[in-house]
Amino acid sequence: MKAFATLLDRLSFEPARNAKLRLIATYLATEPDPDRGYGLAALTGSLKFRHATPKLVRVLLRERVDPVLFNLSHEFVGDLSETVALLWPEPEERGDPPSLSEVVTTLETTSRAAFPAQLTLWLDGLDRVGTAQAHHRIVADRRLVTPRQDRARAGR
Amino acid sequence: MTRTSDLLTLTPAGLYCPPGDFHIDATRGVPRNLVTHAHSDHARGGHQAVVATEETLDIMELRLGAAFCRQRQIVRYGEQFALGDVRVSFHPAGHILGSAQIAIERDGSRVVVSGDFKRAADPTCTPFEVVTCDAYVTEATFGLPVFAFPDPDAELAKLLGSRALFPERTHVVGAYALGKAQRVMRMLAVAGYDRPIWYHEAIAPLAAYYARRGIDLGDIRPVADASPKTLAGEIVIATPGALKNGWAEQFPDPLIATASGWMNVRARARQVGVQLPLVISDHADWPALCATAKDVGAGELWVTHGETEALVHWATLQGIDARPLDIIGYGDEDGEPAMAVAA
Repeated sequence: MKAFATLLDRLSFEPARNAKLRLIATYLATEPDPDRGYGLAALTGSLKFRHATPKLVRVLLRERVDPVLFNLSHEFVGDLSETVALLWPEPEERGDPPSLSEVVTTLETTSRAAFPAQLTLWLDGLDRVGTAQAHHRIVADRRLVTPRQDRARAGR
Repeated sequence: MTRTSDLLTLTPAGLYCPPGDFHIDATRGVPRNLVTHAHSDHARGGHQAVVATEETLDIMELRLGAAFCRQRQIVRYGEQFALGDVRVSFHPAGHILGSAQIAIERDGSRVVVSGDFKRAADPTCTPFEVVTCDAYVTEATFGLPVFAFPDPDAELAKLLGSRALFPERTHVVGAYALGKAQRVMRMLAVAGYDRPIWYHEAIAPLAAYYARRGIDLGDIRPVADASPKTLAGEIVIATPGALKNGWAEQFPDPLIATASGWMNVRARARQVGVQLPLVISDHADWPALCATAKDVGAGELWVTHGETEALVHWATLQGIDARPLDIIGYGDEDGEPAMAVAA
C-alpha cells in the first residue's frame, strides 16, 4: 500500500503525461505481484469497495480529535481525505502497513459491522501519505487523473 | 511582583515595554526597537535605535542599506543588560541565522517574546533554547494540528530521489531568500550532494553572508554563470517570487519543488503549482508549538500571529491563560506566510 500511496501522491502533482508514465512504469517494474496488478486495477478504476463512507471516517476521527480543532482544521484544509490523514493520531506503535493486495482481499470479505475496526487498524499502520490515499481510494472513491483521462481532457 | 501586563503591552506600532521604553519588532518607526530576527516583516527600517544580534543587524544592513537606523547595539545570546527599568536578554530561537527570543525581567517576573522560532534541527543556526517565564508571547504561523512536519532530511531525500528518476530535468526549488535557501544548500552539502548548487541572483548577497559567517553551503554558483539549457539534471534554488514569474521556464523541462511548511497541506501545494512539495519549515509545527508552551512553564500565552484560534483553544484546555494578539503586519513578508497569501 505504501508504494502505491506514494505513486498516487506523486501522480497527483505531476501534470506532464510522459512524467506520469515514467512514475507508473517505475512502480510496475519494482512492485511484486499481486500488488502491482491490483495497483493497475485501481489506477484504471476497476476496483470498488463496499461499506466505506465518509461519515464513518468522520465518526472515527471525532472519537480521536477535539471537535473544535477538527473543525478549524477541516475548514483550513478543505478536503476531508487530507484532513483525516493529517489529523489521524500517531499510534504509540505503528504496525506494518498493509499491502495493497491485503487491503483488496480483506475488503471483499469484511462484514459491515467489522469494517470500522479494520479501517482503524489500517489507518494506524499507514503514514500520512498512505492514510490520505487509502481514504481517497477506499472511502472517497476519488477518480485518479491518469494519462488516459488527461488525453480525454485535452481533447475537450 | 510586577504583573506581566506591566512588562509588555500592545501599541499600534506593535509590542511595547513601558518600563524599558522600547518596542519589539515594531511595525512602524519607533525611538528604540529590539529585533528578534531579520525577516522583513519583523525587521523594518525607520527606527532611531535598533538592538539585535550581530547577524540580524548585518542582514538588516544588507537588505535596508547602511542608514537603516541611527544607532545600533549588538547583543550576544545569553547576555543580560539593563534597559530603563527592566533587564533584557536574547536567546536562540532556531528560526534563521541570528534569530532570537527576547526575555524581559523585573522583580521576579519574566516575559519572553518568541519572535518566529522552530525546534527542528537546522545546520545553519543556533538551536532553540527553552527559557522559562510567566508569560510566553508565541507565534502560531502553523498553529493547526494539521501541521505536524516530517523529518526534514527525509524531505530532502525526496528531492534527491526525484532527481535520480528524472535526470534530464532541472529541479528548481523555491526557497525564501533569507534562511530557507541557505538551509537547503547546507542540507544538500551535508547529504553529500556533490554537484554544484545553482541559485537565483536574489539569493546571492545572503548566501555570501552565510558563507562569510563560516556556514559551508557547498559548491554554490549563480545561474548567470551558465547557459540555462546546460542545467539539465541540476538543482537550482530560486525565490518563491521568481517561480511565480515563470523564471524556471528557461531550464530544460523544469520540475518545480518548493521547500515550505505550507507544503504539508497537499491542496495548498497544488494551488501554487508545485510538482514536488518538500515540507521543510523554519517555523515550529503544531506539536512543537504545544510542547514549547508547556516547556516554558508560562501561566499565560499570548499568540501574536498566524493560526491563533486553535492554539488559544488548545492552551485554554490545558489551563493556560491564553489570548490572541493578532498583530497586523507579521507574516506578510516572511516567505512562508507570503506563499499562503499567494495561494
